[in-house]
Amino acid sequence: MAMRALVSVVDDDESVRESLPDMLRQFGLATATFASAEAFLASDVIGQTKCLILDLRMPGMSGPELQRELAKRGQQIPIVFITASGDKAIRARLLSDGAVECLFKPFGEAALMGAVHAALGWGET
Amino acid sequence: MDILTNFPAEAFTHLRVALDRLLGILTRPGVWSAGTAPDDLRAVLDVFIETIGHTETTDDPSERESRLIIDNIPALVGILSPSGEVEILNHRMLEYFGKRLEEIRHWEENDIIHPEDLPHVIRAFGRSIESGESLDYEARLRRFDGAYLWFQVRGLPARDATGRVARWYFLVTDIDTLKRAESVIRASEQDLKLIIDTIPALAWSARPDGTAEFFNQHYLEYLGLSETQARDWGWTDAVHPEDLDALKETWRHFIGTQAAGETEARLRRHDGTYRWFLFRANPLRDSHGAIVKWYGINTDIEDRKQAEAELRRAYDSFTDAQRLSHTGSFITDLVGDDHNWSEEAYRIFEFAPGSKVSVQMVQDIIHPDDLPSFQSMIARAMTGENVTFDFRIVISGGAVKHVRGVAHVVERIAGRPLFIGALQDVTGSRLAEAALDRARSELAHVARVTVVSALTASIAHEVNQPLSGIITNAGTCLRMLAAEPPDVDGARETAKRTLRDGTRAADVIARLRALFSRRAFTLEPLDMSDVTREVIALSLGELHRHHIAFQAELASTLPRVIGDRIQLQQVILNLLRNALDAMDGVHDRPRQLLIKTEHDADRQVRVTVRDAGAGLTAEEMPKLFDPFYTTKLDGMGIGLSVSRSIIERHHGRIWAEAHDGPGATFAFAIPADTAAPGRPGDTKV
Repeated sequence: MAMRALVSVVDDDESVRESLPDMLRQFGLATATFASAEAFLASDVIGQTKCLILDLRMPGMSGPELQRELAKRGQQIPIVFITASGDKAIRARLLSDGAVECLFKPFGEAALMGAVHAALGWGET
Repeated sequence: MDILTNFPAEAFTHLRVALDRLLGILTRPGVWSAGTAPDDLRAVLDVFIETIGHTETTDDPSERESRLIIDNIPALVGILSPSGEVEILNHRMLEYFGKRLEEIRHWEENDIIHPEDLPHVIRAFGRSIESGESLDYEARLRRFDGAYLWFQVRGLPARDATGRVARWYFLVTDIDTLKRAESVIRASEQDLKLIIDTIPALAWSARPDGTAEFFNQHYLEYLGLSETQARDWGWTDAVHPEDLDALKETWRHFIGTQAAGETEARLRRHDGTYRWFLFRANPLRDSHGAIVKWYGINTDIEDRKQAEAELRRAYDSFTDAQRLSHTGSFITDLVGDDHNWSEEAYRIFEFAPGSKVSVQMVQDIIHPDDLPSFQSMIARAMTGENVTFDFRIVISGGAVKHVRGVAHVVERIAGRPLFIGALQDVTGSRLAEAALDRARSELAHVARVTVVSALTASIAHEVNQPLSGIITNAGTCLRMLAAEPPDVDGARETAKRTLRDGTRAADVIARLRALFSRRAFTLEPLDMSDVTREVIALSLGELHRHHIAFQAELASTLPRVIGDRIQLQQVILNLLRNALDAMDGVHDRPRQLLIKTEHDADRQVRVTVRDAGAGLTAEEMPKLFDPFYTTKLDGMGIGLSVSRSIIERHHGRIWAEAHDGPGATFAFAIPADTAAPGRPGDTKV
């Protein structure tokens, strides 16, 4: 089997960090989890990350700030934002800023996998 | 003249010669200060000479007559020896003194000369007798009745051929009246000087050419100059530089036109300060009308000038104050229709400033609705009553101004009341008050609802997290169990996580309920129609945006319920939002929304929200108020369960019912006049 694509999950919420990777692994993806944007930036998996699942609001550096930082570093990682806030208007802005998708918690696995596949460029599954 | 009959003839000749010479001396210029010898002296001497002449040549009866004449001359005459002893005194002299010749001889020791004058008379007399020079002095002589009268005593020596003094001839003239007049004059002169120096004005006089001659004491003291320094034009140094030229010009003008006049200028006081004075000058003319002197008075008007300036300032600031406060004042003789208005009053009414104001003019611009009360106010004022007024005026352009004021009777003129009053343009404040009221109630409303929606948003956020976890884990669990072979351990793990997240979510809900129960219930008697009206007012914008055909039927008299206004409004808002959302997809029929308040027979106040939306199915009905039940794509399903919690806390109930036609009806009912809502734990979930 070829190297599984790495999906990194950055979210300060523990239940997300626990549940998402298992779901992703079911779909044959490799996962790495981080509790903060800073932790991700300090890691050595930035280059290998093929898709970033990124929480919007976090203590410290926020999701969009990480997005900007990565762009500054020339790291073009496709981002799927996830958020618990109900502000629907933010999705349009995030997409226009280059995000692949913005999902509102709670989302079903279909919505998540659809977004991840789009990020990985795998087309419809 | 008994003595004369005993003189030898040749003695008469000597006497006559001597008298001739005497007369010559006496009539020399310079002897008398008046220029010529007094007429009475000449008369006496002429008589002497004549008498002596007569006696020399004849000894006839006419001699006696002559003596009689001498005795009747209205003067006191005496002849003294060269050594100064009294030899002959005429009758009048003797009569005046009322003493005998012998007594008079001892004049140096007795009181016939006033004791105060005696010393200097003795001295003068002694000098003359010794030197042979004529004598002229004034002294008081005692009359027979004891009174002292002033006399002028003149003593003239008659010399013989050898130049030695042969006789002294004394003429004593009554100058008493003159003397008294002199002292009166002196006294009145003193009085006058005192007056001139005391009057509280600067008095001065000037010559016809304008040069100053005299300054009274006050003037010199004020200037701090001596008379020498001030006179002629010296005083002009004290005139304020700005006023000097004008003053000089005016003074020259007075002199030129020879007319009295006045002008104002500042004069410097001795301490350097300048004060305003009114200069007044009056010419004194002689009998030909020519000016001989100018008299002037300068009066201190500094205080008046300052008072004028203060008055002007006060008036200006008074006018400013009126303008700033939009207050006008007026003095009115209502019956006589005579009005005196301040500038601001004209401005408020937009009448031409200074124009004549009449009651009719004011009445013409009164707002029609306020006319009756205006007229009755005027009628009351006519009877002399104090009045207040409050009316609108319509000015040019149609703008409406609100005028409020008061008028008091201050006095009566010919039985007519005279009013003083003030009026104020309160349009601005009225509008502001109304706007403020509106803003205040809106703010209160928004504040309440903002709190509520912020609360709801944060709750939603917190619940979304665990829910997300639950869903993800559940999905994963299924996948794991469907795998070949099933990943039971993994599934177990996800199941555990699901439980944990579920508990987390339950905790949030519990906190929410606790929040509601812990919150200080602000209890107050509420009119549910009012409460509902406020919610509607806030939602009007949204109703409009969603093109809702909105209808409200709010009962006008509802019994009061005791409750928390904000919480009940949250319930109504919740129902309203649900109704809106239910009709979001409705395009083929009017989006009718009805809100109704009413009270039942058993004193329950009911609030109903009915929509024309998708409606409810039979299956849904029992679950509607369950936590997390939602039909919305992004719905949380919290609103109705929380609403039920609130209503039950108010001892009420909330339910949904079907109705004829599309859509659903939600309602809640709360008993009226209940006591405090229940405590946590009372309500069923």
